[in-house]
Amino acid sequence: MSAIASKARPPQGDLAFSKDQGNIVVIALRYLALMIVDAFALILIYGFLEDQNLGLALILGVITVGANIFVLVPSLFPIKWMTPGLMLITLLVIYPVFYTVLTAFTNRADGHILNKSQVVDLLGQQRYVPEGAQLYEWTLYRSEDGTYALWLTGDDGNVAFAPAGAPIIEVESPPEEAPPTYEGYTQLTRAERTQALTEIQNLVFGEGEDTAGIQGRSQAARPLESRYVYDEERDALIDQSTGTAYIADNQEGLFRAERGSEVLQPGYQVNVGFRNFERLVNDPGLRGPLLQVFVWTVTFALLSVLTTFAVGLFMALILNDNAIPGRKIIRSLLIIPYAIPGVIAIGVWRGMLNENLGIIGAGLGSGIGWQTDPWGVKFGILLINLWLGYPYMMLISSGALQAIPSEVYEAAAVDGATPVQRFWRITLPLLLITMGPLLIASFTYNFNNFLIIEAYNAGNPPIPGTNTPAGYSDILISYTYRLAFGAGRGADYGYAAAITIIIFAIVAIITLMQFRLTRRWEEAGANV
Amino acid sequence: MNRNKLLLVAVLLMVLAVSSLAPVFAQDDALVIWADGRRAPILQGLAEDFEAEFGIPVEIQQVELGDVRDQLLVAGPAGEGPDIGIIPHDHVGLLVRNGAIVPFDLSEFEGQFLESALALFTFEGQVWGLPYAQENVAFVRNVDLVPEAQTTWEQVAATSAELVESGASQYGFVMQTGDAYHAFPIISAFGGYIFGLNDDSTFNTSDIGWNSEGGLAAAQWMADMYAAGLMTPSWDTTALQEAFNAGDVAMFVTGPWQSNALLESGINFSIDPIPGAEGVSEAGSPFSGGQGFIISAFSDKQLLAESFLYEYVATDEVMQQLFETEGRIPAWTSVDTSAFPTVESFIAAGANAIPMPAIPEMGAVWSAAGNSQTLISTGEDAAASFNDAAEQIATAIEGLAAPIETVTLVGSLQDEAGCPAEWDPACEVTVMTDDGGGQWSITVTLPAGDYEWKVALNGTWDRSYPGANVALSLTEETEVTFRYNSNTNGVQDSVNNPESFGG
Repeated sequence: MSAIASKARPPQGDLAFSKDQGNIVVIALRYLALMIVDAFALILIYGFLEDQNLGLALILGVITVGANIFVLVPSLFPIKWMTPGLMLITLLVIYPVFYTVLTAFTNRADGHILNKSQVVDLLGQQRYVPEGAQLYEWTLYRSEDGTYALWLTGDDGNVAFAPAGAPIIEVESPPEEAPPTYEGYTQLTRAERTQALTEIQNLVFGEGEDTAGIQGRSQAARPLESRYVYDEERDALIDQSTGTAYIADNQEGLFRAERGSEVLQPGYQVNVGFRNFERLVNDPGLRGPLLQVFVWTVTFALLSVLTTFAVGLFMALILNDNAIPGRKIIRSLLIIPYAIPGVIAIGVWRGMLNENLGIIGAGLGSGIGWQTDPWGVKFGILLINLWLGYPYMMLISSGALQAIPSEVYEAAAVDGATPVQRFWRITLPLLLITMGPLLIASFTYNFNNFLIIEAYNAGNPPIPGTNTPAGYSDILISYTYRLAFGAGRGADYGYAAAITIIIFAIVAIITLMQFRLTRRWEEAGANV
Repeated sequence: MNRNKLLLVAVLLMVLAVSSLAPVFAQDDALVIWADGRRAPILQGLAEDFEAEFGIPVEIQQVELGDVRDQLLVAGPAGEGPDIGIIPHDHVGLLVRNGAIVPFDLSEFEGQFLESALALFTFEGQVWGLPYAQENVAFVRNVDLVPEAQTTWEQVAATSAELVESGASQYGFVMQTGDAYHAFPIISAFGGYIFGLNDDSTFNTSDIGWNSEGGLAAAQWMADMYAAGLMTPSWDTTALQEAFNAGDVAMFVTGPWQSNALLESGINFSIDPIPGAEGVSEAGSPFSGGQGFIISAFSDKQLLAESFLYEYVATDEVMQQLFETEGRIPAWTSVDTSAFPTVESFIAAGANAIPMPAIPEMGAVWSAAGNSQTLISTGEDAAASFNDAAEQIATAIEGLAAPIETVTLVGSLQDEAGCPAEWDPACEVTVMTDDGGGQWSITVTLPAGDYEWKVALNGTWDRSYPGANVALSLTEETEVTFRYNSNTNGVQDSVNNPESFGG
């Protein structure tokens, strides 16, 4: 939606800044753009409301109103240049974070995906044939005014005609086959019948106490009744076939039989307070290999940053030298690993490092245990991450190197500094001032780099003797992913959200510590 | 300013006009089908026929088999899901548990579907899918290298050793690493299993057979193969097929989905039943699995979807096309299988196949069991690895269950025993005494009558045993002792089980 907003923006940007925007065309275009944006937003909001997704509808509404205010109120007009960005951030960053936090306090998981009213609706759709009901084959009829009716042929030969919303007629001495017309209704052809199926599937034929319903493609039952009826007073679903009352247990999010422990499936979503966090603390998985996994996570993220930075900087320094011929071509070629999608690159590496068939794993580099040895796998992952990550560092370093004033080097040369001294005393400290935040960003990214771990070796090789499956190359995010989604009960979203929040806290703490560190670098850099 | 106000009104009117079209855009008559890349082209053809005949558009959206389950659960409740989907049978359990699919009545097709394929899609007594294919793995052998059919895994080991020693091929038999599905036929040949069965032939998830005697024997067989250098780690099916085609691997386990690759390999191969184990079994049992169509419970076109499946898909012509894409075992009995000479052999190898459990608990099995086999491949102790896996499975299934603090006798006898209500797990009067060693018991005096009971742990219904209530019938006032064993989750009472009470 925001993409539309930015595209549809009038192109006369400079004019729009002036206070007396005399040009009627500019104004007209601007309002037209706003209209289009609003219309699309409203369509989406309609859709969200129809899906009972109140949260998303609300957020989108707030964003849209905000955008309108920014464009329509003259004093806020300059902010409009930020509206696409603000809208995107709200929709794609703030809302998901908000939603994750909300989810962490619910029991949303397989078996508890729907909300209570959805479950009541879903179970309410179930119908059953009560004892003593008659079964028929049905043929579909329709009147001029579009009312449907069923020609019902029973097993015992008795025949009835059931129009929707009118009394059922017993057909005395019926013809052998359903007639082409009956009582003003015309029998439908196969094509017409097929088109009508969606309309008639939940229709009640007959009237009052005597009704019939369609039970399947050929069978109808008289009567056909709803199996579960919601009793608001008792907050319970009553099973009409047995009379059992299933009382809503709003702590657990399920309907449980009044007597005994039988529950209806599915359950529904309820707020469970801090239960997911309590479970996280009590999780045997966390008493097991957690420390080991955590140490590797930090090591992996740190080493990934250091190796990619070292190699990227090295390449950048070399390519910074005008004496190197064909610099542009080499630089373009070196960027290729960055341009190839990670999933594909990791897949190719996985094949090359395979110990039985891979060109490296079974050839030059055989004996390393690329996919079976704990150290070999870790080495392999760092190698692949280096391949994927150095072009980025090279690009950034190249830019940062240009920004270092050449006078500093000239002064150093006059003082008789060697190239090595110049690198350590001038280039690196000055570079770190600009690169520091980027290195931290790279660290946070790798801390949660699920893709490379999962795509390369799925956390393997396994650690022996653990109480939950865990691998030597698992990092926190891949390990907890398995805790939340592979524990034998399907996906547990509430639990996963709680884990996410905890991991976020850990990353935030580490990042804060690193920012302290870079500030120290900056102070050091300022003294150069 | 006035001009601006006028414009503002114009804007509002336009917005309302345009957005009032929203319901029109949202209206969608099409029957939506989620099919994977292989099935989609066939269904696309059907969709065109269907639209031509009935004027109802059918939209085929490409969603991989394994993804349908999770995406249906998200999209369905939001009204965005498909009307029809294609899934592997082992996803049925979770979909039913989430109320996401509707049952089928396939009685009109009597004899048309393989009984075993229908059984795969049967869960809690109802059929939840319209199957089109079935599959199981078999033992594939390079006939030029291994002329003799292999009847036991011991023989496979000996043959492998000969092949490697003589240099006829680089490897004899090699198994997929860390892959419990492909390892299962070996486990079952030695008498191992995954879950034991209850009396009503449902799975008993507290009886884990991965480290049963048979399971450990299979683990030892694998460990010996790795120790002798006859097998190496890091193999998957693709790599094995490649090595088989090159004559480097002489025997491996695979399924009908590799039929095309095998037929095109140029190798003189034979598809045999899974070898057995000396003194234990004649043949190992592979898992059988199936694929089929489901109808979403969130669909508002269920009857139409049913018509489409019953009248357009469940036909000789379409079932034939579905078969010919991959050569899986057709679930439709009248399919002509001559296009894939491999099918008959796979069917023969699946004669004693065990349906792969469709219960959600299998989620806990795959990674733990697979890991234990990977550990053996890297030289870890066989028994320890399999024991750990069994423990991991048990931990995952029992959950992150808190330790047992209290055990309460619950049931219709609670009010007679002095509780304020029946079926109340929070009642403190019927809390059992901890006798130590995982034994809990309580003795109460009850008047004559018919009762039902079970036990609940920690004062809630979170965990209660056994699955179904125990019936207790008393003809006179009786002092009854109830027992619960937390190691086995078994229960007993002195009336139903007098033998255990020395009576």
